[in-house]
This record gives sequence, structure tokens and C-alpha cells, in this order.
Amino acid sequence: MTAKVHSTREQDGGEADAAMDCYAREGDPRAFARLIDLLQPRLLGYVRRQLQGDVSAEDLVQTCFLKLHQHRGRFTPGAAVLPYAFAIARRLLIDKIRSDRRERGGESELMNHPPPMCTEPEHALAQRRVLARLASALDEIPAHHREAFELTTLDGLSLEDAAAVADTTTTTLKMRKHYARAALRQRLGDDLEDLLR
Amino acid sequence: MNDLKQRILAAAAASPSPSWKATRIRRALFVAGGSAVMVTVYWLFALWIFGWQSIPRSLILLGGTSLGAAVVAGFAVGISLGRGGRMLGRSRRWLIAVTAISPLALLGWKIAWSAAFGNLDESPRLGHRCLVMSISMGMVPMLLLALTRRGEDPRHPGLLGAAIGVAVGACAWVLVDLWCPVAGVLHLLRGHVLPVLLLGLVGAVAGKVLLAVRK
Repeated sequence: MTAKVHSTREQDGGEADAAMDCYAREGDPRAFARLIDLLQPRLLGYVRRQLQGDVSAEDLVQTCFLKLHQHRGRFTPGAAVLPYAFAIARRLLIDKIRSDRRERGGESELMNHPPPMCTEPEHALAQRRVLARLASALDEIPAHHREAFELTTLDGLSLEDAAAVADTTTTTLKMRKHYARAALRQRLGDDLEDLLR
Repeated sequence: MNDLKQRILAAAAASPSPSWKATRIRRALFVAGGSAVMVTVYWLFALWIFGWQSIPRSLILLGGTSLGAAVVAGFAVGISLGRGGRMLGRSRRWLIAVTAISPLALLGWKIAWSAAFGNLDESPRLGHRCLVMSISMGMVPMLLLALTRRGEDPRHPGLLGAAIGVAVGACAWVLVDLWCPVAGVLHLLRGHVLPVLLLGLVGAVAGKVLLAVRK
């Protein structure tokens, strides 16, 4: 199932590249709308996991798409749009967290409590519980390791794309992910594999 | 259509988005403008303010040092301004390499080539004129080149700015090398390497301001 999800995400990534390419070349608004359809859920999921409150997460994703729109003339033909979009979202997140910390005197905005993904109340509740355990375990591991794990496992980026977003090498990111998984397995035991299934 | 998508499309419709053609023309104008400013300032200093150096140098010595410096400058410009086929641009390692290696390569080549001609004598001149000339030549082109990448680096804008600054400093080195006959190490460090590093430093600050993705 995980492989299927990854395959779908890779397909989405390819379609997103094609849509961005078309938008950059021709300025076709339908291509931009298609790009939003393909990237919005993933970006929103990523940003929501980091921020408290859906409204600010949506604002941030909106800004992210606006940047893609404003930079369409600078788009490199054939380049991947997904890592660029994630890197913009990551930068905007960092800026927002810093400004919130300044305003609130050091209180962190990082939350790491993802919203439930299924709609049935019982399942949603159970899923929220296990995800809260994962979020709590993620909070305990180093930030670089957590980021590597989140980008690859939770957001479905390839190792290369995740390394580009995190501004590091693929080998380093792979090692960080490995350390993160080992630390999470230590804290969650076999539940980790169940959580990721 | 969901609410967020509608908001994004509405915001995009109200926001300018230059086409490929417009962006390329703008970039070409900035690069040409930067080059014109550099050459103009060079001639201004070399012919009018400081005057042309009358110490003769052999054509092979002059051509060799300038050509080698031009190759280094070309690599530095290509790596710092090119994106390597990715929207995210060059990785941190490439930019650090350009920033750190370019001044060393320029200095190393100049010393090596000049040594082959026995031209490493120290001069009583400290290198202040070369320093002033290089910085005056590089400042405006550096800012113009940084503007071609304005607001588009989400990862390391300071480092990209530093690499652009060093690349512009390397270009200034090539022209100053045509004018300055001195190849003493202390003179080179003060008058030729220092401005490249200073331009890199200013570029790092300018990069943080100009190149970073901001809300």
C-alpha cells in the first residue's frame, strides 16, 4: 500500500512538473489550476503538520503558490517543481515561526499534531491517538532527523527531492532518515510500522 | 472548486507574473548593464583617475595571467548565476566551493604564471589603488546580477549572494590584472584578493536582503 501511495505521488510529481512547464511557457491559467490541484493537498498537509491552526497554514500555502505564479518566467524548463514548492513552504514556515517566537517571547508554534485523515469518527479518533504518539515521538528526536523522516515518509518526497528541500546531500538525508526511524522504533516499537502502513 | 484554490487563483490574477520572454530580456539587460558599468568604471580609473601603467610586460605574461583569471571568473559566474537545471539552483557545496576556491585559484594562477617569468618582486605600492578600483568596478554589477535572481532563493540566499559577489570580484580581477603589473604576494593579497573577499561579504548581506523568498 505504501508503495502504491509513493507511486501515485511520483505520478503527481511528474504531472505537476508538466503543468508548471506549461504554465511557465504559455501562461495558461488552467495549467496553474491543475498545478494547485496536484500540489495543494501535499503542501497543506506538510504546513498543517508544522503549524497550529488551519487558517495560517492556508495563508502560507497561498503565498507559496503566489510565489510560483510570480516566478513562472524564471522557471527552468524540465525542472522539478515539487522540491521548489516545498522549499518555499519550508522557508515561509521558518520565517513565520521566527516572527511568532519574537512576538510571543519564545513560545514555539511547532505543533506536530496532524489532523485526522479519515472521516469516520471512531477511526478518526483512533488515528488521532496513534498520530499523536508519533508526533510526540518525533518531538523527541533531533530536528534534522525529524525533518528527513517527515519529508520522505510523511510527505512522500523522493530522497533526492527531500535532500534538495533540506539543502543537504542525498547520503546525509538517507542517514538522517535512518537515525530517525531507529529512534522512533526505539520509542514506538512495532507500532511504528503499523502507524506508517 | 475549493475555497483555498479560489483564493489562490484570485490572488494570482491580481499579481503580476512576467513571462519567460520578459524575464529573459530583463535578465539580459541587467547583465549587459552590469558589464557596461564595470568596463566604464575600469576605463575611468585606468585612463583618467590613476592613469595607464607604463611598466612593460611581455605579451605572454600578460595574456597568460589574464586568460587564466578569465577562465576562473567564467567558472565562478557560470556556477553562481546558473541553476544547474533545477529551480532550487546550486547546492550549498557548489556555492561554498565557488566562494572559497575562486580567490585562491586567481591568486595561485597569478603567482604561478608570474613566477615562471621571474616577475614576483614586491612593489612599494600597497595595492590601495587596485583595491579601490576593483570595489568600484564590482559594486553596481554585483547588485544588478543579484537583482536577476531577486526573491527566488528559499534555501541559502546569503551564500548565493556571496558567490555572486566573488564571481563579480573575479571579473574585476581580470580587468585590473590587465592594468596592474605588480605580482608581489603582499600586493596581490591587499589589492586583488581583498576586494574579491569584500565583494563576497557585501554580496552575502545583499543576498540576504534581495535574494531570499519573503512573504
